[in-house]
Amino acid sequence: MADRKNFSRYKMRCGMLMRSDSCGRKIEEITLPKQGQYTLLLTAKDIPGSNSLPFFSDTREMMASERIAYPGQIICALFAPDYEIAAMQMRTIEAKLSEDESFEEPAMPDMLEYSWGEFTPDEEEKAKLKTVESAFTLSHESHPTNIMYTVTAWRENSKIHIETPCEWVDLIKSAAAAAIMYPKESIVIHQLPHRSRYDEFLINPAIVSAIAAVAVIRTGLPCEIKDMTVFSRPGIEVRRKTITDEDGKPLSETVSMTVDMGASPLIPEEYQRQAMTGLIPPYPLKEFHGSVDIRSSALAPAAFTGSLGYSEALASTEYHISRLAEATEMTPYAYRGNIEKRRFTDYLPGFELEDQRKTMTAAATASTYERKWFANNFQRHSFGILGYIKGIGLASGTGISGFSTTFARAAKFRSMMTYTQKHNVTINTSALNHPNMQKIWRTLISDKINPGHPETVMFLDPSQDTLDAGPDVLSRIISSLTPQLESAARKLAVLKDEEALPVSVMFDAQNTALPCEFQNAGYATVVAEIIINETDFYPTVTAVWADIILPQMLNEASLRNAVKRSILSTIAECGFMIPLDFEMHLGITATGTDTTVSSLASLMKALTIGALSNALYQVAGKEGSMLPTSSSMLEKVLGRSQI
Amino acid sequence: MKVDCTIDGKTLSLSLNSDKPLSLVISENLGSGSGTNHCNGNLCGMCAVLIDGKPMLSCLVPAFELRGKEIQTFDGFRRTKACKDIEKAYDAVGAYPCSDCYEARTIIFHSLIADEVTDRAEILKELSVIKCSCMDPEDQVAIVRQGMAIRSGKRVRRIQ
Repeated sequence: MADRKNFSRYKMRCGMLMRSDSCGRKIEEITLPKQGQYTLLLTAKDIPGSNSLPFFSDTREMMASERIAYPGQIICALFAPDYEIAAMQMRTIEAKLSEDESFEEPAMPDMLEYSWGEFTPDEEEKAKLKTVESAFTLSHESHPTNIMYTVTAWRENSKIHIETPCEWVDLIKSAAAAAIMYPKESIVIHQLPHRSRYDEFLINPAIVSAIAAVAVIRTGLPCEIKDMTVFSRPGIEVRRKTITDEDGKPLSETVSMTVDMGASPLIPEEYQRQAMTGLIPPYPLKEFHGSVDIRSSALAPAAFTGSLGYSEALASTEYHISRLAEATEMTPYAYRGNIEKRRFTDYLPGFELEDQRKTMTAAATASTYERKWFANNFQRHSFGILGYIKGIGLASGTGISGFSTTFARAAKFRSMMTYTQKHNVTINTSALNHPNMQKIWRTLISDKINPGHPETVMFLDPSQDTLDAGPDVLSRIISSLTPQLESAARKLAVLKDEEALPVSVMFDAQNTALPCEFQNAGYATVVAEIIINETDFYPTVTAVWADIILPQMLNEASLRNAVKRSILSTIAECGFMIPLDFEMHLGITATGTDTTVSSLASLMKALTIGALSNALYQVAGKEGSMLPTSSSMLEKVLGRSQI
Repeated sequence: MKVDCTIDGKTLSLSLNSDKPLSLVISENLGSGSGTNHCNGNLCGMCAVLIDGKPMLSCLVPAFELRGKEIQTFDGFRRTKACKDIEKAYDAVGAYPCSDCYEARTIIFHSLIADEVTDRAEILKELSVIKCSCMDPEDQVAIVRQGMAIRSGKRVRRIQ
């Protein structure tokens, strides 16, 4: 990797971004009255190339050009010799805006529908059938986090260098190249280490990098922008109706999911596929109708938030299973234990439930789930006497990772492995921002080709010829690339003895030959216990029990940390407090049955949301189980029920 | 105003707005990669630095209070043996803070170990200043106790 140029801070420009706090306004004019030779104001009109960020087949505006589409959109950028001058100058910017309530709806795909079977009961049967309905809501949320990141751009000869934290190098290159009308080969990216809890380093750093690149062209000096990361989650509403027989066995189900993606779409077709995978229930049905509808609104565009619809959809399914259990007067644990294997679908194969049951039993036993569930139900109406109310929720499911097979085939993200004449193995891939994972990959590859010599496996430094392995989202770099690397290493181990060296194997960054859209791997169960006290109504999670069964475990310590972080950040994301005496009990077992690597981040997120919504339902019923929850919302529901 | 202070062992004479918070001085004026958080004083707890050896949230310290003070950011602290002890404790417990709060949490772990705080409730109370929810309370207590054991082990060896 090219080294960062060490330039003086006195010879650079510091940039600040101005974001709108409202929407529905037309921009008439933006001016800086006291613009001197040391300051630069950049608006959409000053971008020499394209003001659109190309994101797969969609585009989104980088800076507001004619009208402000959503709150938080970048209106302009101001560059000055230091941040204090930039902040002072920023206050003098004059923006002439006029009211424009019209909303230009971006193109959204048609509703995705999936169904099988037909259930037409006769009159006698109809009389015995029961109907269970549920509504699961996760509201749209968009706010800056406290995490600041810095993007620095500078020119060296004919190349523009950009230093930024990012999850997809190619997107930064494309955005900057399009904005300054340079070829992509002239953009050099220096990746900064980062941790993206909510995939906040995927889209925004690309926009900020493009703006910094434009500033470099305009000023001729290195430019730096400091910006806050943004958490932006789409709004979700899932409505589900199940017809069961008199014993509570589901026969027919209709589910509709509506997703509010805000002002710009986020690969909506893929979102629909991922969401549908989560919506399909684990139990067999005679008839199923599912639909996922994507809508737009004048809200901040949704981003990946560690998931692309699967987690939320699976959480809604788990929420509904608990409602089905209650309708049959069984505990959710006992009801789940009786679920039979579902048939094969286009989205997920019909998997064996034995391992999933094992995780359920382990988590339920450790938490004494059944006893607590009955006790909480018994004390549900004693809030005023006890001064607190407790709830316990359980959710169990299987994990997926990466993009769907259809999407992976179309995107064609690739990498290449070469056995050189010096008997080394080189890997050409853009997936280089997991140094710990590279150590594991080296060992895995050397075991297949040069056993005991991981030092002979080398990952090539980024260059113009680096192959794009795609964005580092949905755990696809770890979960999807690992089996592909192993498979390529097996092929290369044969080819190196048969063909003239050097010999190369080009492979997809993700398996594109799966019969379903996704392959399930890994099972988990999460049990969450919550308490709400009468004084402040703060929803507090007192303990979480999680049990996981995986096909293989690459690094137990990092896996445990990743699982704990995923659970803890989801609890905070759902509006719950984590007290000082919070307990987390985590059990992880590797079966070693196959080499599939599963993504636990999205699964744990799904199950934590599911367990929390079920616990909240036990406490506050249907009205109070909307997420994210808050003390004011619970006070309204519980306070009213007390009266 | 002109402020003379020592940051990470370097004696500096800075020309600053008197109310500029230390967190912004570190990131903007010094261009340090340390302290990637700025919550505008909303107590996110991720900008902890050592001022005269005591942990403080740098977003709450205005520039005029820096005169004559010795400030150690995580950039300076990571080169010390004290930081290596905490890294060993992370490895021993098998739990690590996330990259967002790594710096602040390590600095607070250091102050707890230095002050020999062993009480569970007190440890968690001190660490609750960090609003990042990436770590299990049990792991945090274990890290502090492990860190103390590592340091006391070193002292014992020195005495012998």
